[in-house]
Parts: sequence; structure tokens; C-alpha cells
Amino acid sequence: MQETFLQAILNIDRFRGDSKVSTWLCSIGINLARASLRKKKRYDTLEDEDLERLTPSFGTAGMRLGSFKTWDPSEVTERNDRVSKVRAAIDRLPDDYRTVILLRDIQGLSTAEASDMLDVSEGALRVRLHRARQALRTLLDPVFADDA
Amino acid sequence: MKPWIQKSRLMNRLMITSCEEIEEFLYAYVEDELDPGTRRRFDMHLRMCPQCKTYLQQYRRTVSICADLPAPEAPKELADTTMEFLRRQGVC
Repeated sequence: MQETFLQAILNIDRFRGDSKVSTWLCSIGINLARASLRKKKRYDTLEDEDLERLTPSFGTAGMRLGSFKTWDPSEVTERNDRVSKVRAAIDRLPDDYRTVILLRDIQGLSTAEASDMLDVSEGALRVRLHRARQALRTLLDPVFADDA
Repeated sequence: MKPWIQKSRLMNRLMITSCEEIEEFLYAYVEDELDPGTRRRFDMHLRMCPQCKTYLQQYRRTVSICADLPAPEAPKELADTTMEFLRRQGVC
């Protein structure tokens, strides 16, 4: 995070003023984080192609495959062990998908703001966010279904 | 026309019949971006399909769990110092 602010100060001449300063700072942070993650790739991070098996599958006549249990309704923040499991699941998502969850669902940015930061169209952002949520739901299922 | 074909066409007008099609509209449904007609057909499917109903609950819960997580923040002193610098440079 310190590096983000340092880079912002060093590259102040490049700020064009056509976006908010916060958007510009976040874009710098995202690029630095990506570069850092590329250097120390973790063994348990999923690849883009792994996402396919974490998204829903369908059988004949488009019927949903698999069984679904209702999750424990208690708040996630009530239990610290769950918070760390949720964070671990988010960390396993491929970079682009983890980033979109962070910006839209954790930071609460709008589709327009997030697409601006990531330099993608709003349509592409919606598709990416949906796939990220689908994959995260699958990763969280053992955590919440087991406790139900 | 055979009665089962008539029934099938009527069902298609009233509700989304396939879970796969439900998945295509799920994001827009959760984000409240669906037109009223499609939303009605979507809701009708949910009433008939416990699998999709539970899946939707889990999907919504995934979103709310993320919203409950504290967002990472810059140390206040660092953020204040940097913003002050940017203000002095006329950036904001």
C-alpha cells in the first residue's frame, strides 16, 4: 500500500485528470499487486481454466446438476475461523476474479467505477463478477454447508 | 396441435423452464436489472425448482458475506500525507 502512494507521487505527471484521484490510486495499487503476485505465485491459487469446474453444470433439458444444502444463516463475522476461511477462498481465485470481488462486493464500488479502474467494459465486468461469485460460492459451500 | 405441445408452449410463456437459462439471468436478477416480465418468469421457476432456489440463496449469501468483510484501508497518516501532497500539486 505504501508503494502505491509512492508510485502515485513519483508518477504524478501522468495523472490525466479524466478520472477521480481515488480511481487513479486504486489502479496503481491493482497493477502493483498483480506484479507482486506474478513474482510469488502461490501453489493453491486457481488458474482461469480451473474456474470452469467451479461454475454450475447442467444435465438433460438444462436441469441443474448437484445437490444444494441451505447454508447456516448466522453472520460470518460472528466466527473468526469462518472469516479466515472466506478470505482463504477469495485468495484462491485467479487474480482477475479476486480483484473484481474485492472492488465490487467488498469495497462496494459501482460497476462503472470498477470497470474504469480495471479498464474493461461494464459488460465484461458483469460477466467476470458473475463467474467470480459462482466460483466463490462453490469454494464456500463446504465451509457453510458443513455447519448447517 | 397435440395437447402436450400446447402445454409446453404455455409453460414457456409463464416461466423460464430450464435451470441453465435461469443461470443466464441470475446476475441481472440479483442486481435487480431484469425487466418485469422476465423477473416474473424467473420467480415462477424458483417456485417450482428447489435446486435453483437454494442455489440463489447461496449466491446471494456469497455476495453478502463479501460485503460483511472489512475492506483493507491505507494507514491514515500515510493517506493524509499523500492526499495533502496531491492537493499541493493541484491534482485534487
